[in-house]
Amino acid sequence: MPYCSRCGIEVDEAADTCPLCAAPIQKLDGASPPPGKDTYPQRIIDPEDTYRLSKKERRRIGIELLTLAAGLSSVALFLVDLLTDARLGWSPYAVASVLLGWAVSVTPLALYGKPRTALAVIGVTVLAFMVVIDGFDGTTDWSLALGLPIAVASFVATGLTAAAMASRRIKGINLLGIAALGLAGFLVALEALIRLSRGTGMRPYWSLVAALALVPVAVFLFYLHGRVLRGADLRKIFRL
Amino acid sequence: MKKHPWYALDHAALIYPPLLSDRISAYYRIQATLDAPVDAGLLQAALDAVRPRFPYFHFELRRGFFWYFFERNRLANPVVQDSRFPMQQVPTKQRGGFLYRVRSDGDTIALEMCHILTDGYGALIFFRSLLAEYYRLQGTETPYDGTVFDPRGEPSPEEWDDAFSRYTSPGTPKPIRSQPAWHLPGLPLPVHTMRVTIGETSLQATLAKAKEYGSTLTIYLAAVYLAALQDVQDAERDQGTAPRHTIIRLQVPANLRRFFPATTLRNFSLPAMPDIDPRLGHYDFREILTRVKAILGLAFDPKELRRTITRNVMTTRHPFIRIIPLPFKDVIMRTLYRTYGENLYSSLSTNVGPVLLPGSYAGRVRRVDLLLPSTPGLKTVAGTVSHGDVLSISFGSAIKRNDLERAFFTRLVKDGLWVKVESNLSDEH
Repeated sequence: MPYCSRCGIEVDEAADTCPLCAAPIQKLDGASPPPGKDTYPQRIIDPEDTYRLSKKERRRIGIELLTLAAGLSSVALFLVDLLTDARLGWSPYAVASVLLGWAVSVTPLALYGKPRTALAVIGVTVLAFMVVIDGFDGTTDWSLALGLPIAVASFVATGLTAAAMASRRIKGINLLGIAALGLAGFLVALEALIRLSRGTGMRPYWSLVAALALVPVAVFLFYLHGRVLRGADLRKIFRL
Repeated sequence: MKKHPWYALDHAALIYPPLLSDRISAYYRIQATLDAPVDAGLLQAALDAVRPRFPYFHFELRRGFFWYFFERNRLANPVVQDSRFPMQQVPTKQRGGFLYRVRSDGDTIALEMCHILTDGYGALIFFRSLLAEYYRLQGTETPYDGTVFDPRGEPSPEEWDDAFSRYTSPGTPKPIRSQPAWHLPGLPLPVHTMRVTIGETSLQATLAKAKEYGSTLTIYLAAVYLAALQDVQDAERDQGTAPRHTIIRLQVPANLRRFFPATTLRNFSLPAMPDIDPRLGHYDFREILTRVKAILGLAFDPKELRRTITRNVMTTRHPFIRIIPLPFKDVIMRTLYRTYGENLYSSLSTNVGPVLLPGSYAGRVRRVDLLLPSTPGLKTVAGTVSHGDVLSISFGSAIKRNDLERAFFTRLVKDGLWVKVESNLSDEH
């Protein structure tokens, strides 16, 4: 029987190394393990896995369930509206909202592994939703003047903030600071868009006040991140 | 039993469900290596025949509003293929999932049992009865007694008794709380994997060695374990990574049926906690042995045991505890387990003693092992069981380094014992 010369233990005939110290086991000439004999099963997947659903199957079932729920609730909404007023009144708005919810929840499942494409599809869907819901009364006043520009501004602000967050090597409380700056930028854009649609000029007022409150918060968070939590030495950073 | 659709967990089991995760399975495993390849069809037939005799194991775990509970599970429980990493990916919290499974591979039959259902005593009776039925189907009859149940017999109500409730002594002072203990360092193995290291030695030789030291087998093995932990801690200190808590404490569970009359097949065990405090200086082996002997002797005293039982039972009976909704209880239990549970001991070593297989088939079983799963806190634990002259000491570890296993087995070798070691990760250090 083979032994480990370092640990003094006997090891299995099939072992090439000591199970305790990994030292190679010297074998006598001609001594070889019986073919096909393994002390432990080589399977590393538990049998339960064979009848567990794969991730792809789970996504497919998720899409089916969401589609069924959206379809059934849309039909129910139409029927309730028809039963009460004998014509379609409020239900198109409710059904459009249900369909938006369906699209937003199904897209990440259908486009799993393609996050940018999924986000682009969701963005376009949201813009289309606003135009459609605005068009139910025959005009598209607020959606073109306010809804779409504000939505686009929010997408741009979110994208820039996310890109800035992703670019940070050390992620901590500094991400909250970046989020505060992103929110400040969005508020300024929001007020500018509102003023532009009303024809009152683009000079910001309340958004500037909000931004001036958010910027010190961001600076404080950056300081906290760099100085206290990350342990950065300001004397080193600002050495003259 | 047939009329009752659901049952409460026993007092020792309550702590486990909130802890269950990908890294904490709360399962342990008894495996027998036979002298011939296992006939999986026959094993399934044996399991199907034995199951009705143990109705209290055929449950699924359900969440109530205030407590977890057991509900009858009438689904089939198939024998499943064994895998390299035991006790992983168990369906404890899934609907229809059993709290035990029988596995086979080559010449090995294994029972993986969740501690929520029963302790080693109950699992061993089930395992012996399963093997007896397996061999009966091959033509070897086994006489039935209190250790091997007749599959056609009727379960007695005492088998499903929460024995803890019967041995409380209201008004007794609470046990003294221990200080936090040192824990093994080490990086975790990937999730759903574990290292099993099994050492095989001669029972008679080890008993003789324990006698030479004037101790029992349990005391000797616990002392070797503590000495091995001290070796690992010394090596850590030499490397300059001084541990925060230097007390080394071992959890050594004992079967309470030895102290209180009970035939329950639910949990009924409590641990002793022998320790050494290396802040007082290095302990040589005989000093450790003296301490372990004294501490186990004091801890396994019926009065002391009643004190701990009373504290555990009365806590769960407290009206304030009972009205806390389960999601909050889960958080509280997890915190309590970390703070007052595994934080207080460095590792765990249990010796269930001889497996006592009936003579009709004992000769056809080459070895029996007891495998314990580790937790991210304890990292490495050990289980000991003997069959014939084969003493099996198995380590279950959740970390990459195996210096505790090496320190333990090389100490046995230095004590003059022959040890054969195998591992499921022998080529991966």
